[in-house]
Amino acid sequence: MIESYIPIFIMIVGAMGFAVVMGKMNEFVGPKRPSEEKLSTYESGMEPVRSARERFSVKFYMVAMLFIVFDIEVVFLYPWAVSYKLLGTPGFITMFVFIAVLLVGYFYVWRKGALEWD
Amino acid sequence: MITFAPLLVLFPLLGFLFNGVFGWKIKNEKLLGIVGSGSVGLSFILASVIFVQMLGVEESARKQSVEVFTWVSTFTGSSSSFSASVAYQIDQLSILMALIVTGVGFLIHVYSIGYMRGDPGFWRFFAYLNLFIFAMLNLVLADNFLLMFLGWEGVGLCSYLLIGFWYDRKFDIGGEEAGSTYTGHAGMKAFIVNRIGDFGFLMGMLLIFVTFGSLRYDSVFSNATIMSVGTPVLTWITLFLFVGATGKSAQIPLHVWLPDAMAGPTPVSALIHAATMVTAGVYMVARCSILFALAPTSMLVVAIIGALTAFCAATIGLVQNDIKKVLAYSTVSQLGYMFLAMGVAAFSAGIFHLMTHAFFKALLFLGSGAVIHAMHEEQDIQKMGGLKKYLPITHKTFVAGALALAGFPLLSGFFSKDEILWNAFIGEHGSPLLWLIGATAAAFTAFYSFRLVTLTFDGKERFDHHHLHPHEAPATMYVPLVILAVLSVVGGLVGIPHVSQLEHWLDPVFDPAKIKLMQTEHEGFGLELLFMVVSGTIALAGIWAARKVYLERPEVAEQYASRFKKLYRLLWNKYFVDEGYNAVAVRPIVKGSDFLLWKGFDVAVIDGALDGSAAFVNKIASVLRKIQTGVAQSYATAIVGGILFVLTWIVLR
Amino acid sequence: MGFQISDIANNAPLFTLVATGLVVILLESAKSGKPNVSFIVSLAGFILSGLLAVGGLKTEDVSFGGMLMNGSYSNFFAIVFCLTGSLTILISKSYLERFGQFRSEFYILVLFAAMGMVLMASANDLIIIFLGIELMSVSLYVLAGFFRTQDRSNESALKYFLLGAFATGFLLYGIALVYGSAGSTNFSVIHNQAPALMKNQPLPDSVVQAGLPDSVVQAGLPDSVVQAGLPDSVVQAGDSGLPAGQAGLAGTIFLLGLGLVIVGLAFKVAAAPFHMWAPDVYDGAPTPATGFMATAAKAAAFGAFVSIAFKMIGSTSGTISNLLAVIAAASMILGNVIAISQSNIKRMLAYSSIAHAGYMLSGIAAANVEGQAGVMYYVAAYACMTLGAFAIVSILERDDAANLSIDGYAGLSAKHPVIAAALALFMFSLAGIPPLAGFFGKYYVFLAAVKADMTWLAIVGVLTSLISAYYYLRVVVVMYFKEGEAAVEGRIGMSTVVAIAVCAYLVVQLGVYP
Repeated sequence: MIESYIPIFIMIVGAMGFAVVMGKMNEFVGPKRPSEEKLSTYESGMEPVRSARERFSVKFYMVAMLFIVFDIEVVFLYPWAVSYKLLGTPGFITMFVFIAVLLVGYFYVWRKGALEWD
Repeated sequence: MITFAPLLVLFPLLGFLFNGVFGWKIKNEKLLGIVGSGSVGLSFILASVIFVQMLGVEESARKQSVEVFTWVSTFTGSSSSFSASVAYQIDQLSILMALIVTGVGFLIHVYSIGYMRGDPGFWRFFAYLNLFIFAMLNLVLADNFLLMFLGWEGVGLCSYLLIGFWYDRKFDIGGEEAGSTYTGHAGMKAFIVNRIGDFGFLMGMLLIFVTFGSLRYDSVFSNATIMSVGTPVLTWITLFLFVGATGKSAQIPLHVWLPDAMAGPTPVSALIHAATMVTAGVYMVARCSILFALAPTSMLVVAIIGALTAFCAATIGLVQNDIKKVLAYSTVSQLGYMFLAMGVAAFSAGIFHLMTHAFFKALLFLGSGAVIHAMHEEQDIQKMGGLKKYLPITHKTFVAGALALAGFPLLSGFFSKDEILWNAFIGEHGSPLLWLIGATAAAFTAFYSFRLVTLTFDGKERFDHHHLHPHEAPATMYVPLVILAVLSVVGGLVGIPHVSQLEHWLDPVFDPAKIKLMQTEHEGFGLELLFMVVSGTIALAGIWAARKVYLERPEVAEQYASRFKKLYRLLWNKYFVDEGYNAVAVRPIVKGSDFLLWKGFDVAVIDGALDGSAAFVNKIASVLRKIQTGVAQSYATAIVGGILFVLTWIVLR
Repeated sequence: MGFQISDIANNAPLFTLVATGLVVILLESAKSGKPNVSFIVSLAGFILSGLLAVGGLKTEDVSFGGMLMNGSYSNFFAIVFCLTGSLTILISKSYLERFGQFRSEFYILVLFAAMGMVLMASANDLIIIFLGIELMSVSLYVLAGFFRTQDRSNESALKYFLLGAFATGFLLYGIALVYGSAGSTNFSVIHNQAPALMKNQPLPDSVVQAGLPDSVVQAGLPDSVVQAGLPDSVVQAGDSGLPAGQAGLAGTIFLLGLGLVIVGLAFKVAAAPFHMWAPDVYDGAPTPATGFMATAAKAAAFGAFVSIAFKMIGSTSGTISNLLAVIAAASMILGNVIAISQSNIKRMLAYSSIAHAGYMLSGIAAANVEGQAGVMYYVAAYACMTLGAFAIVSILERDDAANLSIDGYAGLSAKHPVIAAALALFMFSLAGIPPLAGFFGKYYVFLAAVKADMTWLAIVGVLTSLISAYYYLRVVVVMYFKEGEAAVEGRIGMSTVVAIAVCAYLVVQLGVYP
């Protein structure tokens, strides 16, 4: 049983080793001209250290929540796709209903303007 | 005719619906009064017809039951399924009670037309009164415990509504903590004390159901007859039922609500708190006589509580100055007699006293109502006197009632009280000691009732002539007085030992109990006669003493009061029972709830966190902050505590 | 796998609610700002669903591979939910209009919460219970915070959400432990194993084998899924290869799991000591939503509770029964005593709902047929009287959430005799005065407790309901016996009046003909 995982194990070790080697090589090979901007932590172009007491636009949450909802939908599709043949037509209908229900939600979100940033 | 028995109950209900639904629109007091009293009158006529018919049939056919509809049936369908019907049982006991309730009730309704004239709540008053009669009839006519309980709660509710009828008035609770309080609170007190009693009834009822698998009188009582004397479960059942009876019938230690209940309008005091509702406990014990007969311990408890109540309440009555308070304590005391009768297995004697008491106590209350009416709401007898010439009819009828109460020979109270005392001496659990307590209380009764009469009607006029012009009440008020006076005088004749029929009329109801007690007819007619003479002498002596003291030498009373100062204070403060309850029960509960749980927890933890967060921090932040620092965490802590408890419980099971 | 047409027919009430919910969402999306249409459609959906549930009372069946159990039990609860749902909708209309928050989302959320409730009541599997609870709770969190601009409403929602999530975590943990020890989440399977587990006996081989893989197969999942889904270790735990010592451990784990499941549900019914959220949440939420939470959500949690107690555990277990009895007693005492000192009527009703949870739990603790029937009756009776009370509170509540204090009700009887009379009726019923519905509810559960030899619990119950008479009657006293200025602002919505009338009628009806 456990033997069948050996290729995966080798794969994991290989991938990690490759990443470490490449990173370290960069450290040795690349030139270093530090400046203040460069030394600060990179955080998607935002100032990394600020007061934590700050208000976010509610739109961020909105998008995040919608993302999670539809993300989970996709995740749910995977096991169905894998056993699609086994489940057959009933499975297809079930999944169809599932997506239709989500679609109703999507429609609502759309019409309510939750997808518009401004 | 018996098939029409449900109509008995229906008439007052219709009266209630009419007055309750349309009453506020109808301004015509005459119409309201006629509907209110008429419905009760119809019931009375019907009850009389049924009664006469019952006289005509032979004894075994007198008990009948009429089912109206099936009320409750469990939907589980298990083997021990539970069902109860709205069904009425007409037998010798219940028809007698129905006659008393509707008869006295009718007179009081008529009286109220005059008494309540011009009151803005006239329609409400009659609606409540009719509802009360409806509930009371359910109580006495029910053929199972559940319906009886419905009536039991119903009369309690009506009593509560009627005590607080003049909810905006204040009244004086008396004693040293004297101060005024709202009548609404007196209503609350009555209701809550009664709920304690109801708890007893409910527990008794549950136990009955668990033991006998039914709540119908027939099956419970017939099953009970095959049980042996002293079965523990029967003792428990009867003790629980008796707790219920002490609550409703104002026996020690639950008697505290009745004197306060005098805050209600006087007809209410007469109807509910003297003649009918308070006797429900006695009726219930009589109804369950077979259960009590099988539980000697309970019988003894009933007898002792009854005797003690009769004695203590009579002593308190000696010193009170409020005309209605005196009568209230007298009622408590007379109820004590009835329970004493139950306790010594003199069931018919108790019911007999219940009946005569209904006559003369209703009369006394209505008479006091006429006096209060005439004196413009003055109730202090120290501020009355000499009213004889202003209120001739009220005076005569009142004296008749007082004589009956005192046990003046050959009046109604004499026969019934004498029979109880005789049984207390010689009956099943009787003893000379019980007799002695009862006889002493009888002497006090005679004394305080004539103290009341003398201070009110005789002697100097101690009220202000310039402001008060006492006048006789209208006819609707004094006609009932006269009828009740006649009944008080002659009502005893139906129950003269060895001559009358009342005892034998009730015999079939109490026979099972008597058989269990192996009670035999007590021989010794001569001895009984001697006791009658003794009782009569006691009554006469009490009356004479009261007349002597308060008519000729009023200073004697004051001298005694100052000589026995402590005793006087004790009585004046009603043995400090109210204060005791306040200290032991009421305050800790209210304060405990207030301080510990509310102030301690809600205020300190929740509001503390809320106030603690600075006021100018914007509000959203304060909400978030509270959740992060204070409140929700403490809630979560409680949850964790609960979880730990649950897990520990399981692991250590 | 596969489902049959009968699955859908059996669950017609549920699917009606689902369809209504979706239709209302679509309507709202297609044409925003027409709450009147949503109001009517939701009401129709609830009524239709309720009627279908009445029709389904007779048939007993399982559906969706044993996940759901349909029959008189689930349909009885579905009727209760549809009734409370439609009454909530009726109450909410004028209330929301008065507060300028008359929006379709309210109805969508009520519909979705009701779906979760129906799932909970018809569940035959712990997973379905969990699913139903989440569907219901998430909808209720939002309902509690429906007045977005009100701080109290926000606070209430956030508190409810945080604590609810916390409790749900324990519920899920409990489900996991039960699954780990019994090898299944299906009620019928667990029911077969529970006696052995609770006696700490090693599981007989046959039971285990029937228990784990087979049942899942029976539920219709293909083998591959089973193998992919279940890690080896779990299979081994369920295997009969347990040494004697570990068998005892399985029993303990099973009971611990049950304990945590009970904790999770006790939170939902607001039983002590998991009740702390209730007063704050009830106080802050919009009054119709509070009414819905206090009645339907509580009913649903009891629906699940009764299923778990009777269908899953089945045989009486002293440990669990006593535990429930202790929780019940604590709820009755705490709820009733603290309620005395409340001056805000919504908080008072919140504490009263804690106490009533205690009464109902004593029926479950009794663990007999009478207890089950008693709880079901109680749930219906309680729903009517409490929803009626909240309806009246919603009428009297003013814009700034003022006028919630009990003293503010002084003199109501003079101004609005009918409303005062209705409120008095509900208070009398809550206090348990015959012949109203509240009395028989108490009577049945206490009777069950006495029969189960838990007389002490019945005594605690009767004594605490004695205490409760005090604060319920205080409302009546204030309304009738005190002068005051209580008045309704503006017009009383017709739909609210209908709802109050229905509640009052049912309170009397259930009392006179239980």
